[in-house]
Amino acid sequence: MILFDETESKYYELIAYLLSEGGSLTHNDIACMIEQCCPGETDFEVTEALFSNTEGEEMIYIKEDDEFVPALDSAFPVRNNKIELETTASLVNSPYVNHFLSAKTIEKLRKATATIAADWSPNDITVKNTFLGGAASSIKSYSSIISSIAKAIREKKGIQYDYIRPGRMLKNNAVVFPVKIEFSLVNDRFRVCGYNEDEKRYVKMNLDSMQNIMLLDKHPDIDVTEGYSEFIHHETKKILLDVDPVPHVIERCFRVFSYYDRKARYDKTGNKYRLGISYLKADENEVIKNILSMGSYVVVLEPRTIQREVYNRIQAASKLYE
Amino acid sequence: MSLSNSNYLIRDYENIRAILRDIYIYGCFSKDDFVEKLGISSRKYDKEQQRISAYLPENFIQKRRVDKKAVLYCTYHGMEDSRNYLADTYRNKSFTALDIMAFFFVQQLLAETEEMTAGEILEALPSLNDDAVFTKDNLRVKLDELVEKGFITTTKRGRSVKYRLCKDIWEDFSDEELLDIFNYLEFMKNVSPIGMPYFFLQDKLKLYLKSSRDIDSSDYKVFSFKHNHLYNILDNDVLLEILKAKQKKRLLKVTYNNKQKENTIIVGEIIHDSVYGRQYLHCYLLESKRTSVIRIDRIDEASDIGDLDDNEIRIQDGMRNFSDYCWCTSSTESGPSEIVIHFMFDEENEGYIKNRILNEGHGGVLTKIRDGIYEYRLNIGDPDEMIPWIRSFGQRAKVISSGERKTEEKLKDDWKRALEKYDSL
Repeated sequence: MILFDETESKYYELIAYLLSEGGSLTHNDIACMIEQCCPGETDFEVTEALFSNTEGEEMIYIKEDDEFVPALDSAFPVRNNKIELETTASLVNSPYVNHFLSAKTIEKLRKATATIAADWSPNDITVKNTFLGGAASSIKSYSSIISSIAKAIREKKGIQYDYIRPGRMLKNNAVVFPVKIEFSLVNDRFRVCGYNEDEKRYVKMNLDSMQNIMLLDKHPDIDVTEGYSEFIHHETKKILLDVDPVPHVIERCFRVFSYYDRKARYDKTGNKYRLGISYLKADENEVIKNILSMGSYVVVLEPRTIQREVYNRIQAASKLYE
Repeated sequence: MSLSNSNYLIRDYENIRAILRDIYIYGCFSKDDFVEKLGISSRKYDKEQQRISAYLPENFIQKRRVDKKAVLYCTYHGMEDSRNYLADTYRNKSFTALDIMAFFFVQQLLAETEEMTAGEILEALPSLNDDAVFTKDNLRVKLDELVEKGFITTTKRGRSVKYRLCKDIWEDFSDEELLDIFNYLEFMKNVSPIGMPYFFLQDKLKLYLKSSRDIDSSDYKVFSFKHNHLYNILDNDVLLEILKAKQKKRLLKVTYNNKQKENTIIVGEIIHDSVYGRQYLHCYLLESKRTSVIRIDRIDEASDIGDLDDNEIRIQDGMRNFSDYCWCTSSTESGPSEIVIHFMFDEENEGYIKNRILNEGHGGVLTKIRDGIYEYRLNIGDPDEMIPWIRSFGQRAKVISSGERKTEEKLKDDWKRALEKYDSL
């Protein structure tokens, strides 16, 4: 298969980073870079072969005294392979390009990739069951907005904005310290998660309701990233489901909840599946909606409050057909 | 120590794909379950799960004991860390000393000298490894591979072939522009149904920013993703073969369903379902002369076997827009039928339900009948395929009619069954 290629190996990347540092390396330099480039367990067979101490077994580096010296002292030029070049060319044809790049950058990218003949296109994939009227079809461009919010997140600065819903202004010149730009692949919409210093709480807002966004030279009083982790931890709730052992049901249920943190249990003797999901309180209606979509195949075991709500709604739905 | 002794580098990604997918999606199966489910030997499972555990960071893949049996599972905290660690498993392809030395030395030499012949390169290559000695022949093979992969190009100068580095496509972009592209790639690698090429490209751009612009972009994590089915990435190499076959009008040989089936196919429509994260291939099976829908995650291998002929191109053209009348991929032989649903809600306090119907309802016509009741009509290939969506509205949706499928009767029975289940708790 073409994507699974040795030139994309983490060890190639490791060597490329080390060469880009230039000069000789200590064991410690190598160990630090291995930690960065090679997540998971270190494969000593590979790392020791790549940085061999033995004459006649060396590859890219030569051992001199206590250090490793590149066999060639010229710089390593970073170049893209064919798939990466084709991917670069595809960027200008994505329905999302206007939300991230300015017209000038798009044009530059188009020129830089004009000679690349791509033999695949992501646009040949029909995407089903995303919401209509989302970011992919929006004529509005978020490019400078996303760029400003991203800058605010990186530099831990605030943004000023007006919050407007069709026909009414809800907030004028409000300030928030953004932490994340959230994107839903089903809703096809951006939301901004941030800290509201006046109200001392974290908020989520639809990006298409935020207007006149301006980057401020103002830092928050608290560490908003750390605070956001605590907020998520505090707002996380759990639910336990009993899933019927019907293959297509198990698969659908485990897939629809796959982006939540989950813990599942399969009791082979009793042929039972239990699925525990951790979700944010704000997503509770969506979790209930997904449970209802499974009908009789999924039953809420805990907590009792959600079990009761789902039961009441099923009871009312059943009555519709009496 | 030697590269060939590594237990973790693998030749074929297919070895780990199915096990890894089930560990991520289900996270509740023991070795015995996998042996039974996937029909693999216990030894193979041990070997592959050991590799998978080694590829992924400890905070992502974990082990617990259930009924005295070890179960591997993954944790995911998408709101805080959107990184798709499954993508890292693509970075473990095996290689030889000659592969890696040729890759770095050739590009380093061409960065110093603009154009070189194979002979000049051979002369300038360091000879360090007694087991991996460059010769005229093996160097030619490695140079051909680098050309094919796009890192270097060739130019004919008289009778000799000169090699040079491929163009640096980023050189004319400012730092700010590259950071915007970097952000865009962070988005695309998570949002595109074929995310892996964007992963590779973003990682390469990160390396470029570090080595050529001295910019460390490691901490540029500004997005979180919701409804992101991370496991789709595992099938991206198969999906890429399919996309290439579609674009280049080629025939594919596919083996699927645990290598139990093999077919020569003409690629039709490629469909990605956002809700369940399932990907499908509508295709024409040459041997049995009929169309079919195959789940992409069930395809073990896909290989290009040649051009489509004129008749096959006509068949491919005839398969266009297959899913136009499908909720996802299903349709009945009798063709689309109309489904009529009544939606009941409090217009003042539950206006979001109307928005949901308009946003999610595939363009069905919504008409207000009276206060609080809206009628929805849609022509659809198989009304039964809409059942999960209709059920998700609970007591706010009632199917009035659905043609031959009698979807309303299935819903009636299912709600009754659900009620009985809760009553028995």
